Amino acid sequence: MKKVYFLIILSVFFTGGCRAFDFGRAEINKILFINAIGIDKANDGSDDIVVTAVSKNIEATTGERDGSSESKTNANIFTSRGMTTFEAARNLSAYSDKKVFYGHVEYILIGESAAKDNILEYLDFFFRIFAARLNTKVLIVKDGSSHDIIKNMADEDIFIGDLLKSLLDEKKELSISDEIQIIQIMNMFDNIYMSPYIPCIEMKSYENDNPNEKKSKDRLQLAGFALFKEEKMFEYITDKMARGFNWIRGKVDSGVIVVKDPSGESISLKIIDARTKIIPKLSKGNLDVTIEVYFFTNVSDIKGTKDIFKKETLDYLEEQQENIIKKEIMEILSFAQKNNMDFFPISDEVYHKYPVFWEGIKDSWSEVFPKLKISVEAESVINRTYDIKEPIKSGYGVKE
Amino acid sequence: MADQSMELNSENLRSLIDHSSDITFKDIYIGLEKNIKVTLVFIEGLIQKEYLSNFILKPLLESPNFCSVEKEAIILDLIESGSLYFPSQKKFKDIDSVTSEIFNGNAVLIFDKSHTAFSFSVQGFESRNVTEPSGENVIKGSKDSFVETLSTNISTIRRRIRTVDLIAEEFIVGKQTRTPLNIIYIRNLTNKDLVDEVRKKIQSIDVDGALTTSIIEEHIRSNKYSPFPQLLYTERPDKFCSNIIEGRVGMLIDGLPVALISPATFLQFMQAPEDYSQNFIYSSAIRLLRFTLTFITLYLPGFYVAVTSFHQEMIPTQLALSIQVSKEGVPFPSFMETLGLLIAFEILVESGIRLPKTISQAFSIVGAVVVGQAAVEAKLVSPAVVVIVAATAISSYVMPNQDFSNAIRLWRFILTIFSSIAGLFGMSIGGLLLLYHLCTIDNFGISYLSPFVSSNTMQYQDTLIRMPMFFMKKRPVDLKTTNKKRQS
Repeated sequence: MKKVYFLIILSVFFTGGCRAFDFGRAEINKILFINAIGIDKANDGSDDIVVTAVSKNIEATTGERDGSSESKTNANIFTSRGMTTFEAARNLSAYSDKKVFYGHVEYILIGESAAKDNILEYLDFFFRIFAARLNTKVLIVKDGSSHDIIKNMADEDIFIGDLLKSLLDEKKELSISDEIQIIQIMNMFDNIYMSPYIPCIEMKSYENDNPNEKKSKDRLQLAGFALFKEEKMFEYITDKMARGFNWIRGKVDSGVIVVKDPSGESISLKIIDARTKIIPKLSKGNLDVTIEVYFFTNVSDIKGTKDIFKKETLDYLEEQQENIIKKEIMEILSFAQKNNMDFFPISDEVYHKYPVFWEGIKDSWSEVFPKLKISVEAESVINRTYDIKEPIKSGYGVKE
Repeated sequence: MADQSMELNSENLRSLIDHSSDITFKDIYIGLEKNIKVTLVFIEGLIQKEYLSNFILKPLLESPNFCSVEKEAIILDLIESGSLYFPSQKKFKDIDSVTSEIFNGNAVLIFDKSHTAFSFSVQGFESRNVTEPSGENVIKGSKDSFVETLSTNISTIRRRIRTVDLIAEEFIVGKQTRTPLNIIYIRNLTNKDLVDEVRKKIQSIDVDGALTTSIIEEHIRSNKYSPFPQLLYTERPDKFCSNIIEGRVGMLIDGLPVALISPATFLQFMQAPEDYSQNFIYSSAIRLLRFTLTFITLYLPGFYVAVTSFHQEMIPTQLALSIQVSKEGVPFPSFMETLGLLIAFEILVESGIRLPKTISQAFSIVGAVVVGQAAVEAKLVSPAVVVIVAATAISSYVMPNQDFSNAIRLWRFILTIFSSIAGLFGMSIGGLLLLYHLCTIDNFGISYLSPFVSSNTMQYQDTLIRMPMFFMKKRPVDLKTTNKKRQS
């Protein structure tokens, strides 16, 4: 054993200098940490792929290295093109002074044109290379190209990685979008009975209040999901439809439901907890599916002046909010069945509950799904309100 | 030394040893007619002169018992029956043992005619007082420490362990120094084989002098080329005693204010005496911290080198960027920076030890400013590395045992070099080698890593955490003590 011991030490020391036994050493200050990467289809008609890489510039002293150098920014943008994603990514090295490193890629943005083409062709590189992380978030750019978004954000002096991080951190406030990692995408596209979905971002222009600056200001925002048929993008769903989709996925964390009190004034309810169950039921060879939603809300805002904390009023409000949620869910369900896209996926639930039955129908799932009887049941409780109970001016607390 | 055939008389003794100025020979004539010649031999400085004059010379010359005697043989009888005011004396007939008695600090009376000598233990040399321990301080616990005098040390132990079974066996080590060494154990408790083994090893020590602990340690330990200490040393009598009653064998060497305990295990170097005088929850937390920091001080520089030059994807993005910026403009690769700074730190420590206290303070300021600030400003090292090495250095000071800390310091370098060659893969190989090395150490049949590696015991009450005392009903099973239970 002593000899083995000795040999190990010896070999480690003497092979240390060999190029072949370098084991991939690279100094940290010789590395370019790409934080976000955008993939687009070239818009000049060719089949080329345009890759836009962004790295954060901590010192914020150097300008854009793209060629057209502008004022100081905190993002370094690199753009290159090639026949494939890998070729385009490799071409980045041509004018980067550091080694391009994909280990820190946190966001992959895919332009609409690329998503409509064939998303898997563009993403395969990131599925394959070992340096990229499997928890990289993927986002589709709605109505635009990722290159434009990256460039615009850099012009606004906003680092896109930080912005996306805070947008995704706040996603549960509205529950109209979600965070999908690259490993989930691999799984979704692998599942042939399901239609994949990827969250979207879009750029909106707002009026600028500051008269010294440009008239409009570009802002990024999360905008629902992009739904895929096979590997091509099919349709976007946004706002209430996207929330309806999140209800079925069981991914609603919070959100606002506006209902009317008996006198017709609006009351906003904040969703504080929600659970969803997809229950397939097989009776006499007929499959039907029930979606059960159970949620709690708190009263956050009362427009009127009436005291609503009475049993009858609360029951009335609960029924209203159940109906609203039911409507949201029914809307996305009918959309799914109409287009024959099972993106929830209900097929999984059926397989888990009735594996034998599933074997029989799985080949004809695309015929079964549009005709499937899906019913929605919603159950809700209004829990409480916050610092004050009755609205101001309701007369409560006035001493006679 | 002396020729066996030499007769015991003052002339012969004089010719043998009267070359040094500190050896005093004094002829005294006693008896009725003052015609009986007695030679008093002693070494100045090793004896208490008052004892000699008050209790030996005075009665010999003035007591009526001795003054009325005419024959030497009667004087010998008188001394043997205790007419000198001394609790004990030894009678010798051969010149060899007489010489060694003199050099042990006894006074010897030689009667030339009857070739007889008496030795009296009047030892009294300058010795240090029992003071507070300098290295192993505790708040709640005894404040005494071992001193250089063997007999004082043994009495300190006797004051703590009063059982009749406490045995102190004496050996002489060193051909030139003739240093007394005592092994301390408890009869009917400590494993007999262990005591025999220690005894055998000590008897086989063949050296010129036993002036340092390493002489003993390097002869007793099994893995001779290991940097890890295999004998526990302590300057605290209470720690020594608690190990003795646990079933270990202790060694005290004359002239050294530390005691050695064998067999030592890895775990003992992680235990501080204070662990047992504080609340067990607090002690457990501190001990966990100690283990964690040991791990950090061993691996942190290597880990830093590995992640910054091989596995950049492991660092959180923001941190990676900060490190990148801090390293901008530094011409050396990470591992050169780290190794260089580690070596600089060792230099600071080593030179700090040698310097007088007053200078070392100024020196450490210079060192801290030069290394910490100027080097960073001159872009010789990056601030991140300074932080890493500082954290490593601070963590290394939580270890209660300096020997163990030194071994860890050595291995830290090895692991850093391994990491710089093959990243975390190299670091794991280094870690495995370290583990393998620790597993091979085994003293007197007790493995160094016990109880973690023992298959026959589950004694984890006093390992990573310290459980309350009532969980520790048994002595360590590995020690194979005759009496297995601490509490019945």
